[in-house]
Amino acid sequence: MSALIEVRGLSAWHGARQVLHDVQLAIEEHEILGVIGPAGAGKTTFLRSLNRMNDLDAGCRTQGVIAYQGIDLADRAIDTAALRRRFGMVFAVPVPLPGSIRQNLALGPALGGSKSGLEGRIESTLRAACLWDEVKDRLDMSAPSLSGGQQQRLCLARALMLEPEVLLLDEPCSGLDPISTSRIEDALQELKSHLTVVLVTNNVMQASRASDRVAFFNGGRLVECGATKQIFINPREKETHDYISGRFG
Amino acid sequence: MQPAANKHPLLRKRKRALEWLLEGTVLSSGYIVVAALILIFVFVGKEAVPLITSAEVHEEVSVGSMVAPTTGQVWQPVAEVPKYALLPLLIGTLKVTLVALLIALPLAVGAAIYTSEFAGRRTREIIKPVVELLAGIPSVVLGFFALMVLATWLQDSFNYRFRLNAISAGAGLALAVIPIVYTVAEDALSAVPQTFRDGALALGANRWQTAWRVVLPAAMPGVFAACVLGFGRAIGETMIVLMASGNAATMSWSPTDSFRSFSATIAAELGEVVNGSAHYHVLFFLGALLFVITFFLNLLGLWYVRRLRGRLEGRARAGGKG
Amino acid sequence: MSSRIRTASRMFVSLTGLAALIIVIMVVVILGNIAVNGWELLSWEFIAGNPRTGMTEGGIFPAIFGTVVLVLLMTLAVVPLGVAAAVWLHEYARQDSRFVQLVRLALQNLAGVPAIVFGLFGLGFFVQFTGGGIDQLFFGGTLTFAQPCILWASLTLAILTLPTVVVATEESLRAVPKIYREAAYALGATRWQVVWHVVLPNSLGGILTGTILAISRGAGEVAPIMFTGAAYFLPFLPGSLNDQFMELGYHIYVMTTQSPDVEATKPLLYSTVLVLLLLTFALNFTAVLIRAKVRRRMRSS
Repeated sequence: MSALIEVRGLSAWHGARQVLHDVQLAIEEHEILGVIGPAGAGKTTFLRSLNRMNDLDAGCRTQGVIAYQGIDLADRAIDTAALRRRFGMVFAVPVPLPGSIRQNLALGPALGGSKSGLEGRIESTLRAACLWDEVKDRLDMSAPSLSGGQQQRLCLARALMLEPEVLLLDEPCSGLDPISTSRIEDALQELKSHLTVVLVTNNVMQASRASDRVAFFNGGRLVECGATKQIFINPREKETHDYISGRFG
Repeated sequence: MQPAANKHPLLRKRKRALEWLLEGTVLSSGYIVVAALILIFVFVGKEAVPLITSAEVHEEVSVGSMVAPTTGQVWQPVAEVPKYALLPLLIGTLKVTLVALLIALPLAVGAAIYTSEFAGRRTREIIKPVVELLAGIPSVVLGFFALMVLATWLQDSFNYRFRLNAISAGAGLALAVIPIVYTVAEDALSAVPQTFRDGALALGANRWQTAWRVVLPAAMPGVFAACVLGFGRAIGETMIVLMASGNAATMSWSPTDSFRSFSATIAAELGEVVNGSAHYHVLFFLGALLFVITFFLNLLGLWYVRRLRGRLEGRARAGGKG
Repeated sequence: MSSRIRTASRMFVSLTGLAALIIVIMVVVILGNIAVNGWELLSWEFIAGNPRTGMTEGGIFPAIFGTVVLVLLMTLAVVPLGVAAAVWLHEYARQDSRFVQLVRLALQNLAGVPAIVFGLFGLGFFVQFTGGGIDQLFFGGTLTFAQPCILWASLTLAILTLPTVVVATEESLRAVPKIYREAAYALGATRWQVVWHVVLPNSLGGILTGTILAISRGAGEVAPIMFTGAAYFLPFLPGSLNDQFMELGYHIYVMTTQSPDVEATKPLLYSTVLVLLLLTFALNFTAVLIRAKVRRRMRSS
């Protein structure tokens, strides 16, 4: 089976500083790929190049090929808005937009011009994000007044409203309590059956728990990538070993 | 070339008509703003040009005859032989501007220093809204007040002959100038980093010395900007001068004589002038003159504001390193 | 510290304090004078009635009506354009580009152009050029729009108040957190959709502030409308865009300077001034309240 996304020779610069060096990486369908590495390793830049969020940063420039269904996602001709609808994203900090829970969830479909079956989808995505039971009676409550963990699950649900093919998660649990974190991890295991997840995390334990394969970045380079077990038990590179055993990062 | 139908959906960009229209408005708005300023210049200037180019107008008046009239320094456009001497209007404009600035600058800059350096929070929260209130009073109301109240008070106090003169109009004009000078000066003073003050105070200076020797010099370009912008406002203000000046185009520099300014002349005469007549072009010429003068005063003011910013940032950076 | 320095210091502080005090007193005196003298005649008949006996008696309803219609038309023109310009400056344009700097410079200079010059411009551009053009094209040269009227007066005011709207709107756009925009982009929004669905709804307060400030400014300006549409006295209310109109500020000017017997009309005049002041202050006050609310939200987020 060929990979869903194949990243070839991806480099990126913030201003004059190169933050990604010639990354080669394949992402398989229906897997959870954990991306780990110390701060400043280029994990987030890598993630944001997949749905072209880097385009929004005027100082950021990328180079390389991201092959997907026979096209290059790094191509200028790509409709980035449509791309981001296929590749949903959740940020490190929860970003509920002002307005109700319902309004937050309805925004994605509204932007795409689809309004049909909204209520049903709201329930199913909230269930998928393990949030339904907590908010089912108060969908018209202001989203920013939810707790941090609930906000982040709302953001996950909001991304799922797009019915994405790929889910890009940028340290989604970095500010959350352990219970919220485990809820999100549970949700991801469920979601895996019909979509592909790229999970950037600075929590090595989370990567070992939640992902099928792990990619280790350091200093803007992809050091190694392999099955989670292999990376954690028998890493090929000493750098990887040092990182996961807590020697740095 | 691939046919469009075979193209991957991610390669097909769509845009809705309404979106396209609204976005087009946004994208063109910058041009409209610039165009507005240019159009003002062009359309005021256009009607002023015949004064320089038209032979027909030259039979009655030319720029030369306005600056160096042969029929005496008189402004008398509606007469057997119309007279358009510029000097009386220039004197009037400068006279009233001078009086206004003499009143407004010390008050506004003084109050700005007091607010930013000495006043407690409570006092500051009274002064600032009061100045905003003053800024919100329409100039026609200030003109009304200057005409009905100030002029009488001033005449009673100083006992001069003409009730409406450069003192009454200048005092009214000062009311219009104070808010802009105060606001810009206060902004400049507050922009001086606290570290400057702390440094001076640590060296044993008292608050007066800190304000006078450290804060004021640092904020000087901003205070200049305030004065220049105030000057621009004063020179172009119309209603106050129109209502409280007495509207006599005299050659006197005395502040107790009635006078006439450029702006008030336009306002008073344009309503009764024949379109396209020499007088009409002369009035547009005065308008163009006002536009150009205030334009350059504005540029100068903005340049000072910029210099202040550059200076404070430069110093703060140098201070950070040291 | 020597006593001389202490004395000088105290004097300097007192002088600056005195300056502040004088300004406050002046404002109190002006407002007090107008309030006290204007209060007497202020009544419903005055506000809702028509002027009588050569405007020396009766009410000022036509002037109030004219002012309201004038600023309404002005708002319709200036708010879309001003908001569009602010959106372009803050959301679309590259901040370091020369053209952006040029637009900012133009706005700052526009704010400094004397009101009377706007009057000349309105006469030359709107009344004669645009109005004349419309008459040639659509009315076969019959005088319809090539004359001073409420449409041209309001458009002239719209250009005068444009910088006010742009500045207030841009301030509120700046208050919308960048991360909101990112969230919308991540949901597949186009740049326009980000503006329309996220940025503008979250900066309504600032837009409203700008609008109100523009209205309050526009309601008080006389010089720009003297030659573009305001009339001394009209027996009828403006019914179409090319009618002339009465306006509060202009009414005050006319009554103050052209009235045959100022003493007789003085009480009436004071009340008119009070009405204009109350109108502009009420608008300004609302704007200040909204702005304070917007700033608070900006700080908390």
